[in-house]
Formats: sequence, structure tokens, C-alpha cells
Amino acid sequence: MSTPAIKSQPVYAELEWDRAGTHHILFVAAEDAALAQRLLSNPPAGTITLIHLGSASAEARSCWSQGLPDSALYLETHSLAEALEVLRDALYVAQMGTRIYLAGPEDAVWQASRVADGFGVGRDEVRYAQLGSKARPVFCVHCRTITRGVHTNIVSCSGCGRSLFVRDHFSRRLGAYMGFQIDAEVPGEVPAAEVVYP
Amino acid sequence: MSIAFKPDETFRGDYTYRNSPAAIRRFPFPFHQDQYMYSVNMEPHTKGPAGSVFENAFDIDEHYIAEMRDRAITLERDPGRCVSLPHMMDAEWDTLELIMESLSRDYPDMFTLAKDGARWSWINRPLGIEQTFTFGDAATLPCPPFEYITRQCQGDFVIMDQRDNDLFADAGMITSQADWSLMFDAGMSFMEWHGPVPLAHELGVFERALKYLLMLQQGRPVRRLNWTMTINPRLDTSPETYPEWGPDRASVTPDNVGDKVHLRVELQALFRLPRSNGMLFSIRGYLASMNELATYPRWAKRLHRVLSTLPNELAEYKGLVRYKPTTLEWLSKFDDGEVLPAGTQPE
Repeated sequence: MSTPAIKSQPVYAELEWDRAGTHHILFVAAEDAALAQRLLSNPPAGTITLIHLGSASAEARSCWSQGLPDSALYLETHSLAEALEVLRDALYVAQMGTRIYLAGPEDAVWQASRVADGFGVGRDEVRYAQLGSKARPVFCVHCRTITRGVHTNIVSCSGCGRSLFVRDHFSRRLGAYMGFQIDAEVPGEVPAAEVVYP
Repeated sequence: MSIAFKPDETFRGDYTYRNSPAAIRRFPFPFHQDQYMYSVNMEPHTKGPAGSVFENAFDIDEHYIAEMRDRAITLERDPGRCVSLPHMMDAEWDTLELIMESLSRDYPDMFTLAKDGARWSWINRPLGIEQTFTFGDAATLPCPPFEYITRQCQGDFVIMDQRDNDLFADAGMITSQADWSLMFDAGMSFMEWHGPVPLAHELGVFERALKYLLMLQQGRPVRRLNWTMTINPRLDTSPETYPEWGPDRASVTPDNVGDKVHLRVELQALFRLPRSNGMLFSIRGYLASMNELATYPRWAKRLHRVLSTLPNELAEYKGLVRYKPTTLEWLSKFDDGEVLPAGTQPE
């Protein structure tokens, strides 16, 4: 696990079940066969609701749908919006003792985290894992648009078009990294963008 | 009234802000020594010498009316500079009470607070405001209580909510900040909020500060000074408006250093709030141009030495890199190498 340059940047621990929980909501938005196998082959006590975000096109079965324990309810979704709706429904009926696990690219994980926040879920009841793409959601501090799926250190804002430098400063509330105009001091002085978030 | 206000001065456009000789003399120059590094430099926020910026809980000075107008302009352009998360209403009232009681106690000729049970009457003479309202009933004020009172008090304000052994920046009135965004940082924990500050985390500064602050008691506020530099006497140096003021950093020349480059000092104070158990963090900013500071050669010498030994990470974080060499060159003519005893005094 690397140390973040800026302390607001999330650090993701190896995902483990919280066995103090009595119900487990697992929200997964990326494939990771080894992790799926490790978690599902050694399930915790209590029930599991597994919300899976798959691709819109029907491909091979997800690794998350295989080897499911009997205690698990598997819910397949095909868009992030749908997955978040299903998560909302699951949280709506959740009881005390529920533990939440959010795993996937940061954009999906932190949008899901905001849904959980809306239900008053405490920080210690949620665990996070970064899986799949390292692409970043970037909040433009000038026009407040979030540009999603950013792979480069400099990106054109999808709202105002400014060239934004993507900082390591992260807001859990917004679920995004901060972007600010890189050439504000000398307009036009924009270095070449590099792919740094594959 | 004892303060000669300068109601027409501006912090944008033609930048007519200037300090009177008396204001320069009381400027909270922050450098005790020839080098600067972060530390947990907190001390009790007790009543300081008469006339100093430490005399009162919330310092009101000659720039009061003009600063409040600049805040109103910034809020008009961007209402998002005042944020308060929904659970912060008790702390909002705590803040209103603390500021009204402090100002009316410390500046009785300017501010008056009269209480008849929950029915409160507030008079702010410099701004020409009279308001009767019911304490605890936000509908009896023209805007929410935190916004109401911080539109009438110099300095930026954050209210931190204390829970889970941490402090969360859950409300703020931020219109004169040194390049941090309330809209982005609202809701952050203490470590997240201070995440971008270089070197200090490695020194354990924030860990110690947080531990200390979690134990802060009501009626025993603490304070510290922080600093940066700003081009032009501009209050709104926010990330939001960086495209407006960023180019100023590239505009410093040997001829305009004295007028354009300003030392910006924040008198930061922290107050425990009684009902909410939150914490009010006031960030009272002072700006002085190089010309103004150099009226006291001791300060010019000291600043020259601090800047020339400042670690690069700090210079970058504070945004000084572009104009630091020009500023150092200008300050060097004041520095004869005299050994300066420790202390921040002007003479």
C-alpha cells in the first residue's frame, strides 16, 4: 500500500469481511476473481446482499456470481445509476448491524459512499476497495462540474473547458479529486498531459 | 467611535486598500526568528496589550466596513462561499452568541446586545444594522444565524463538528482565504482538510494539533499565527477565482514589488462552543505591502532572511515561486546583516 502524497487521498486496505456485522451489503463495480473467491469462499455469519454492476452487454458470468454462499442474494445491474438505486433500496431496509463494502473504480465507490452517507451510515460501518480502472472523477473548482473517467494528470473540464491539473486532494463528500486551471498564472502555458491513472 | 474607518477602500479592481501608520505598527508580524518552519505554535487567546490585534477576542480595525463590503460582493458572486451542513444549526447559534457577546463587550461604542429572555436586540453602528430576533428561531433573522453574524465580523470562519475523536469542517464563511476551497473541503476530517499542506504531516504537527484541540475547553480559546504572501491587497484569493488573480503572480517587477507584494498574516483563534460542543475557528487576515512593512527595517531584514531560507516545498505550496526572487532582491537592500534578537516587535 503506497502512502498518498496528500492525506485526503483515500488509502484502501485489503478488503475483509467485518465479522461483527449481522448483515453485509457488498457493492462491486469491477471484476477481481481472486478477491471474489477469497471473500465468497469464507463468508461471514449473517446474510449477504451482493449488488453487482456488470456491463450492459451480456458477457461471460461475473466472477462475483460464482461460488456464492447460500446466505447471499445476488442482484445484477447494468448501469451505475441502476446499481446505486439498488443500493439505496438495500440500505432502506437495512437493520442495525449492517456492514457495507464498496469495491470498484473510485468513481463508483464514492458515488455509492454518498448514497450510504444519505442513510446516516457511520464511517466505521463501511469498507472500501479500489478495483479495476484507476480513472479519477475530477471536480472543477471553478465551474463545479465533475469530469469522470480521467486518466491523465491534465484534463479539459467537461463543463468550462479549462485545462485542469488533477490534484491528489480528494473530497469524500463530492466523491472527486480537485482540478484547478493549470495555466491561470500564465494563460496558454499548458504542459502535455500524461496518462497517470490507467 | 475610536476607530477611523476607511469605508471606501477596495480589495479588487483599483485596490485602494492601504494601512495607516497605526495599522502597520500593530501588524501581527509572525517571524520570531530568521527561519520559519511549521510548529504547533498555539497559545492561550487571552487579552493582549491595549491596541494590539490580541486585545480582543475578535479584532475590529480600520478596514472593517470595507472588508464587510468585499465579503458581500464575493457572496453575491458565489453564494457557495458560505456553507453549513444541516446538523450545524446549534453550532450556528453558538457562533452568533459568541461573536455578539464578544463584540458588544469589547467595543461597546460600536455594538450593543440587549437580551430579554430569548428576545435579543442587536445594534451594529458601523454597518447601520438594528435587528430584534428570537434566539434559536432562524426565521426571525434575514438569513441563517451563522451567515448573519459572519457578514458582520472581520475574518473567515469555520465551524468544526467534533465526533469520532476528530474535527470535521462542517460549516464555513470563507471569502478571504489563502487558496483553499470551502466548497471542496466542506465535511472533511481534520487530516483530510489539511492534506495539501507539505512537510507538517511528517513533523507530526497536525496529529499533535488535533489531540490538543479535541481537549479545548469552553472559555479557554487558543490562537496561533499563520502566513502567506499575496499579490495586490486582495481578500478573495480562492481556488474558485484563481483564473482572476493567478496572472497577478506573474506581474511582479523590480519596480512594483513594494506596492504589489503583500505579507498576509492570519491570526487564527479556536473557541469551544457551549451547546453544540463544536469549535469555532476564526481566521482573521491582515495584509501589509512590502513598502508598509519596510517602514520598520527590522521587519524587512527578518522577512528577507525567512524568505531566503524557506524550504522549496513551502514556497511552492504558498505559491511564492514566481515572484520570490524579485521580492528577495528588493528586500536585500534593507538587510545589512545585523544580528536580530528573537521577537516579532517592529523596532
